[in-house]
Amino acid sequence: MSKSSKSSKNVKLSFPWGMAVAVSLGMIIPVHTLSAQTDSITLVAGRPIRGTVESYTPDNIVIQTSDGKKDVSPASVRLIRFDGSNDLVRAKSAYTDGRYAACKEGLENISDQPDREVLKQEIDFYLAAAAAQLALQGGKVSLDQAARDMDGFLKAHPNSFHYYPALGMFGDLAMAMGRFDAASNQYEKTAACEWPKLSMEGKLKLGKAKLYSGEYGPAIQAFQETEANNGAEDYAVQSKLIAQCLRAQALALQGKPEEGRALVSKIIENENSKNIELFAHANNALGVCFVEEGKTKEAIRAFLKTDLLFTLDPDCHAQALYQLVNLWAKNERPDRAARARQKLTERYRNTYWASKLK
Amino acid sequence: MRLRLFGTHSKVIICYLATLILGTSWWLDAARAEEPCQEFVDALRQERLFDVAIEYLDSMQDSPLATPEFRERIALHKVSVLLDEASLIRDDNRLNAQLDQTEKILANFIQAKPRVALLAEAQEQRARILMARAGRLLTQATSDRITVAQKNAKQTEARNYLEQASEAYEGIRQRLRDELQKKKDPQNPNADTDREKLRNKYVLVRLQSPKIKERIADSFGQDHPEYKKLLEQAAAENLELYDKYRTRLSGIDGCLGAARCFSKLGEPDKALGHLIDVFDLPRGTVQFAKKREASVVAIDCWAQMDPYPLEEAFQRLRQVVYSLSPEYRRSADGVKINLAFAKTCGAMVDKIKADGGARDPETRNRMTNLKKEANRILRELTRIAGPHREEVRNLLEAMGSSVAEVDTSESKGPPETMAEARKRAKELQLRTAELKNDMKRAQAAGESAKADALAKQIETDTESSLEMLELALKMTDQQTSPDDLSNIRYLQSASYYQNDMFFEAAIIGEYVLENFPTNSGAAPAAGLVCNSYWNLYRDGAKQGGGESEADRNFERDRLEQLCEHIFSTWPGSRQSEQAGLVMTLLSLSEGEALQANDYLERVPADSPTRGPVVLEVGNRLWQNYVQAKRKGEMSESDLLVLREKAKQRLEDGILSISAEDVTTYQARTVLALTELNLDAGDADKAIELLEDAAIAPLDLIKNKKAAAADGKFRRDTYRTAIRGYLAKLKDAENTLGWVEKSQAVLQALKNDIGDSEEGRKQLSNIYLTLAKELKAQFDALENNDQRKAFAEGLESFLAGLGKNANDRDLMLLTGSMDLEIGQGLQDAQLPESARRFFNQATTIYSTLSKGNETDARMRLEIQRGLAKSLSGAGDYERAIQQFGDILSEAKNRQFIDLQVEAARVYADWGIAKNNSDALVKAIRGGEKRENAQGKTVNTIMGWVNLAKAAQRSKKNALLAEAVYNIARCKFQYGKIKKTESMQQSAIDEVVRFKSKDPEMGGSAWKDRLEALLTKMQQEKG
Repeated sequence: MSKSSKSSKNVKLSFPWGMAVAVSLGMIIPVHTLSAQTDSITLVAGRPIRGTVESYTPDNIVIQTSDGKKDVSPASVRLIRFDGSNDLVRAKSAYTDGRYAACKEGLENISDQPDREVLKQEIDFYLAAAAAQLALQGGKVSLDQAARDMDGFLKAHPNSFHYYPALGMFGDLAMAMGRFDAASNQYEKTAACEWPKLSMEGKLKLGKAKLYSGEYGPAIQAFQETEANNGAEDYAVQSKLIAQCLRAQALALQGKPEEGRALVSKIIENENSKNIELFAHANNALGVCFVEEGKTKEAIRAFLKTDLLFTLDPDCHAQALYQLVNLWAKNERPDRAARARQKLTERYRNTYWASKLK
Repeated sequence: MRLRLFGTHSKVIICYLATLILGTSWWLDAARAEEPCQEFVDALRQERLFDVAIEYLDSMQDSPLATPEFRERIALHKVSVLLDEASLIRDDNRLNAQLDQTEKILANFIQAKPRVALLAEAQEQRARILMARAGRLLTQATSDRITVAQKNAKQTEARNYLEQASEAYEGIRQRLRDELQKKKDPQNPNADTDREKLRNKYVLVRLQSPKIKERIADSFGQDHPEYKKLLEQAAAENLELYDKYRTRLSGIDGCLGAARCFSKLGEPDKALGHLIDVFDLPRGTVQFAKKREASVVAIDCWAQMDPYPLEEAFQRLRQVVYSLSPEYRRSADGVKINLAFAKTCGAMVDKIKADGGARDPETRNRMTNLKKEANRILRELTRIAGPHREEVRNLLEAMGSSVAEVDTSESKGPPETMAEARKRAKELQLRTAELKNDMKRAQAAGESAKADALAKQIETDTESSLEMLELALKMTDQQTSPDDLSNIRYLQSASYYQNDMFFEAAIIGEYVLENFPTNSGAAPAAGLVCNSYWNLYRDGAKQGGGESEADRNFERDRLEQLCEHIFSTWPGSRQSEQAGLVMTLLSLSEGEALQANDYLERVPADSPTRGPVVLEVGNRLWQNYVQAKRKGEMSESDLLVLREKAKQRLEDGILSISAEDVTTYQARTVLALTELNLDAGDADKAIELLEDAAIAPLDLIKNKKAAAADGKFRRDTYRTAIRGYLAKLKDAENTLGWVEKSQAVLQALKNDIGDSEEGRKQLSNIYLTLAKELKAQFDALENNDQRKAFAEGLESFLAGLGKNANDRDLMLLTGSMDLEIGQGLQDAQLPESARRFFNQATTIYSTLSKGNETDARMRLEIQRGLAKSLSGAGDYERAIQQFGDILSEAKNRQFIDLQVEAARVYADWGIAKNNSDALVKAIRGGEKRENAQGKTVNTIMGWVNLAKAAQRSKKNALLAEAVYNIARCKFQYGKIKKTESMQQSAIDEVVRFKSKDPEMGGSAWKDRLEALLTKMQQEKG
């Protein structure tokens, strides 16, 4: 689970959650002091925009520039820097680098109440997001606490441009806690949003939530919908391939392991194994197929590939370790099972897979 | 760990971001997928998943996912995997099998004529195999358990492998040099890169030559003339490499190699001169590894210097000591570096004191820090197993410290978190373990005051540890994982166990098993519960009734259930090993040797706890075998299986005995194995064990070792040695030599016993036992050629003894042997040879019977021997008279075997001479006499009465023999009298017996009865 959140973070990097500005349902939140600020928005593509962020909704950011007001979609934003927010900038930088504890600490140490609402929601979001990441990666924050923090943010800032990314993270936390219904609810919302990448990711994760909860039919449907996406962007191609891998798992668990294996074998034969995230999903899917076919040794080999070669995706790695714990035990190698268990509980103790082991 | 993960993650994010920014999409490459086979195999090797790696390589043989280049190298990859695995195998047999398998794969690969480049790699792998073989032999040669001759043999064999490896590397070197020459192609743009790769390889291969020379030198030892010569050569070669390739790592290896050689040559200054270059290398992971190696060599150099270069050693070691990884710190080199540094810190303190002490705060501070540092390192070293521990303890004591001086948790204030409380409890447990060892040592040294003080400390620590764990439990909440909870409970159980509170330990351990069966604390808790119940059971047994039967049964049943649970849940684990050991001991305590043997299978061969138990199991199995064979109630095949099991265990067990400190029990075990080999007809092995083994019983006696102080052990050894030497007579080679050796040992036996009355009795008994054992050996010979050769050799032996015709004991020995061998020859259908032995026996026993034997038992033996000799020689009438005389004495009639022997004479007489009267007496009894009531009764019982006695006493083998003799006597009688009904009655006897007892008294009698039945049925038509 924390894995998927991490992978989603990878995906999010091209449109960071923190950069989104929300405009929703025509409700514009005015930013009260307009004149003196110089904010800057760095876009994924195009020249940076300087001015003052005036208002925002989950789908739009309005910035007053010297050329007049401009609407910016949060999906197209790479970075926003607010005037007079050096501590916040540093914390955001720590977040981007994956130093979540430093980010949280930095934000907690900001003693002065920000005078702008936009800054307040920015701080609240990154506090909640850092807590979520720490929880998902087995840090000092419990999943419950992180979920409460994120829920608090969503309720306090329903018009934040971070709204959809926050929803996604809330879903990730629910997944890690094994609350698949709650996760599905959140992912359904992100799947319906207008950020193409976030929407696609929401759809994919929705399928995953269904898969983990044992609803293989709806899971397969969600994966097929992802695969049917017309997008040709890198993230879209990647999501579609991962959806195929997850569909292969669902097919295997639905009692069609040969069909699943044929599907994932094509990916393994045709794709470049340097695509670590994809190959982690592919080998896990292959492993699940072998498990369902009763081919223990082949399954072990597949999960070992994820464990030893394709470890970047925490959820996939945790899943592989979980499977190895069981398979090694079945193969009468308790020493190896114990080693896999230790790795899983040490590295990914807040994941769904670690909790499943208990 | 987590931090590292985040670090990796952020790097990935940055790369990912960079990729996006640059607009490249590497995953969309159109190129067809290739599995990262090499990486996967490397990772599997790294994780020591060798079996998976081999299976994977097999699966990739025809896989389209592997590149053709990878596929053609699969055999070579396999060899690498197998060699990696071999480096971890401790069992010599397994290692040899593994290396054989590796060589076979390599040979098949070479036979398939691969490309030249691959062939060269194969040659390199072959050299690695040779090096592995040599390495193992050299390790074996350092064992204390082998003799000097064995050590030399192993070193010679190792040198042979090393020389072969050296030749192989030389071949590879020449090929690489040729290739380097060919690569000088100005037209080829890649020529430089290719040459660079080749040159690296070339240097690495060249390094092997001095390395091998150094190893050969080590194998010779310092006193050998080759030692110096080879080390000088190795040093020169290493230096040449260093001079040429200073900028390469392999060049640095040359420098290190040269320094090592100089150090071994006793030239520390020269060695240190080179090591400075390594110490001064720039920073870097690889460079640090080299500095570590340099430190190890330097430590040896400094130790040779006078005065000791304290400041230099301190500075150099300080460079590396704080950067050693935990894993390296536990290695032999890591221990060496840490120990040297701790000693250096101590010496620095001494130096400060000698220079006037701590006169200013700065010096005082420095001294304190140095002391603290030395203490910390030494305490860490006490927790690492190895021969260094004794020295470490001495150092701690010398520094006025001890393991007990570890900071106590009390001084740190109350723990603030559950994890901290648990950690402190663990620390206290670790310290308790150390204190217990100290206490045992103090008790052994008779330092009771120290032992008492330590006992009190242990009790206090246990209480503190339990308090910490209570605190830890109080600090748990809903978020605490079951793993943590189970771990705390396990630690509680461990604390009680450490304080010998086994019942409490068992109860808490069982709580863990019931409530956290799949969590991390479960397996170790199971081990503790198992050990606790075993201690309770064993202590109950020791108290001898102090505990109720019901309690003991409960503990026993619980143990069995628990161990079975451990076997099935955590097979192959440490707990499973411990459970196997406990069940083995339990079975032994209940006299169930075979069951113990089965449980012993659960204990891995390399377990340090296994040795003494294996010996015990082996001895018990051997005793069971001897008893079963004597009783004749076990089938031949079952006996063989039992003997084989006993042999395996005894051989395994003997490997665990240290030749330096052999106990009588251990020496007896070697003797048992010798007897077992004799029983199995392997006289060569038996003699090897007696004379040449690491713990040779004859050697122990010769060298007057404590293990041979027991007189019975010496006498049994001599007796077994005579049997062993005489057993060689069957080969009809060097007969005189074996006879002389036997006679010499016989003399040693006589000398050992002395000439007292008691000694003579002992000697007589030994001779009789020896004669019987030789008969058994004779019976076990494979064919009549061997029997004849054995008999003839024995005649020479006995003739030699006959020179001392006035020695009653020797006469008794020769008479018994003549008689026993005569019977053996008769059974083997060699009547002429048999008669010769019987006649000699008759002569000897006749002479003995005329003597004035005062010992009634011995007199009976002489009479009995005479009767049996007469019967064997065909003088049945006198034989019966003799038995009649023996059995006329009331006290002799109680011996059933005398009655059996007498009845046999009647039967043999009747059949050999067609004497119907003797046949009737064989069945009904004979030699009339008047009993106390004035009634006429038979002195010799006859087979019918013997059969009844056998039925009463349930002696199946005797009953079978009685039926056999009744049937053959009846049948013969029917033949003589031409009475068909008598012949049919004889047949019916056997058929009836067979229907009642299908086993017919055991396999030996069954075969004879079946053969008799067939013969009778055929003759009767």
